[in-house]
Amino acid sequence: MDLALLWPAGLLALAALAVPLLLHLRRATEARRVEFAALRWLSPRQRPRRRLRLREWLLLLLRLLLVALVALLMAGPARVPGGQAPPEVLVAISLHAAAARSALPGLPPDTRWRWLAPGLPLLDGSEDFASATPPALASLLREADARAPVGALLHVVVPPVVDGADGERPRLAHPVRWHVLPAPTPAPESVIATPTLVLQAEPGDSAAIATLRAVAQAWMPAGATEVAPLVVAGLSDALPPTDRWLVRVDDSVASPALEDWVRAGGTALLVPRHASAARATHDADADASVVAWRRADGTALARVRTLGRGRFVLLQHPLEAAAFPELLDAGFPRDLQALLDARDPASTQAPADALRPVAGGPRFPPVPAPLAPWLAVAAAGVLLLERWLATRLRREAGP
Amino acid sequence: MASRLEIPLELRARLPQLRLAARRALGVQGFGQHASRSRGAGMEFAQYRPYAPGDEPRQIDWKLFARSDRHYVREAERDSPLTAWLLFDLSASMRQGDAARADWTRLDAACVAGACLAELATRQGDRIGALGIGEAGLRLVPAAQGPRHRDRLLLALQDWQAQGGWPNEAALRPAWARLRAGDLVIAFGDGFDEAMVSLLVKLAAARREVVFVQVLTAEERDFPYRGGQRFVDAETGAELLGDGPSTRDAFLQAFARARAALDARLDAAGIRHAVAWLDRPLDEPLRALFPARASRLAPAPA
Repeated sequence: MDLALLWPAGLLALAALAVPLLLHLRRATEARRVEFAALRWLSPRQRPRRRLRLREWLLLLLRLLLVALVALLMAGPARVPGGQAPPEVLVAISLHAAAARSALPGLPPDTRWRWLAPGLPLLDGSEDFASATPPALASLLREADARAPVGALLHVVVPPVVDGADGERPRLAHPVRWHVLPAPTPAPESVIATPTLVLQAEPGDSAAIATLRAVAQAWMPAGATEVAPLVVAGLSDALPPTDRWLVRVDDSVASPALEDWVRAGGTALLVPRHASAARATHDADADASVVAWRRADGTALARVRTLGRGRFVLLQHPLEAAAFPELLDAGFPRDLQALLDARDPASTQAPADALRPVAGGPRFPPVPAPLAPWLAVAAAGVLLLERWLATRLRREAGP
Repeated sequence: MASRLEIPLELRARLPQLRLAARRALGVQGFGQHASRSRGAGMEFAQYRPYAPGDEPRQIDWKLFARSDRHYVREAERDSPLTAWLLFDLSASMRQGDAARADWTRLDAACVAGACLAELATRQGDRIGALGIGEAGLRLVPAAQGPRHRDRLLLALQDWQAQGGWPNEAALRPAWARLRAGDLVIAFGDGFDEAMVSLLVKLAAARREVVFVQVLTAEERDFPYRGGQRFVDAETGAELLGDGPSTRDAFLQAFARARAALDARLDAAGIRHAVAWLDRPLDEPLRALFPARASRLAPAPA
């Protein structure tokens, strides 16, 4: 750690040190006037010695200190990190903290242990990190590399299969030790947990209900024996929680309550009952929505309208094979799931070795930490002390 | 400014140790405590003279008649009251005081000492007057006797201010008419003015008994200044920059020489003198000059 000045020319303000010095100089010409009748016996040759004398040393010292502090403030002192920094250990969040600690013995005690999670939190104790979503590991590695002090050695502890890879192998500036630990738990499969489907339709619309029941059953994992979770409700029933997918088979436009529900994070699939109604109803939304699914000839099959944190998926045709031949396609459930699922379907899983960073990343110059706030506090303290000394009672008149 | 009307209590308590006595000055008419040339019924034998018609028979010295068979009249010198004058230097240098006691100037000290002498004179029945010599000329309180006159004199002293320099000779001429031969003149001043010293010497030479109380400040004795000072003479306005410690020795030597020269000159003129320091009790010079137990017949100093 070194001290540096961001603007060394500010030290020229140290010339102002002369001001309090001059103020405190007791000039010989300001001698006290004394009535003295026996003047004729005074020797006129004895001039007063022009010795420089200073008054009120303590006050003068305080003022010099104050001026020096202000000059230093102008020069912008900063602490430049450097030298030997302690190593950092970055642990993937799917690992146990205790396992990571026991895998890396012999590290200096000032080693900083961090989770590879957003914000790079420190490992406190041996608690495991609880998180629902897998973080973007490669991006976090780059962030940790940029934030690590100069010269620090990075230990990265990952399971054999890591999640959160992206398009490029991380290119880091710091030297990296890559440790692969056996995964404590089998990595979760990439099956997206399908939210429960809530179907709101008129009771007589059995064709649409049957179709959607079949779709929900198709979303079940292979070999599942239980019935797909599908809740059938009336059009006027209460809206489900926003983590369910809502399907409305209805010709009317979305009600304000439904829009609020979507805005709060819900996903709603609006299915028209009649082909004519579909056009009339959904043309109004055409400018606010984008076509998300189209036929080979360009005809729009579904549009997606994002609203707040949620989305409307607007099917352009009723669920009838005559108007919607893709309904009969074997890939229809998968396509519909991809439409409803907002998450990026691209896989981010990779073997740990595929993510091993390479050297030669961009080296960020160390950021100097300005010391101005501390100096300003010190200067304010000195100023208060100086004012107290200068204005206290029982003080001779002077500077 | 300290009140010049009031004599401090401790000083008043020591007044009985003082006696306003002259060595050469002579009393005038009336009955008093001082020797005079007036013949009368006194204790002090003056002379025998032949009886002349008209003398009272009880004045005839009958024992001498028995020895010599002639009538002689025994004559004695009558004790008479004295006329004392307080002469004040009212030049600006009398305004000076010590820094340690800023409201106690030379003039204050002189006036309080003068008040003591006025009190003494009143108790002894002597006549006392006051004379101030300053820039404006002569200020006069005629000599008289009694408590009422004493109060009048003290009241006049209260108003006197020290200002300016010494007047010229012509302004002093009325003083010679007032201070008559045989009077006691008690002068207060700093003795720095040549004009005042020469006036005192002339008065002494003209058969006035002159006593000089030189009022000096403690700073003139000790020179306690530190650092650079701007010394100002109040009378001439002259200024001098000086450094305290480095000037001190030279000043003290020069000042001691000047005081020795002045003492010698006063002694030669037959002027008794004493120094009243501003930081010392005022009765010290008064007791040196007017002791109560002094012999009335002590010869005047040569």
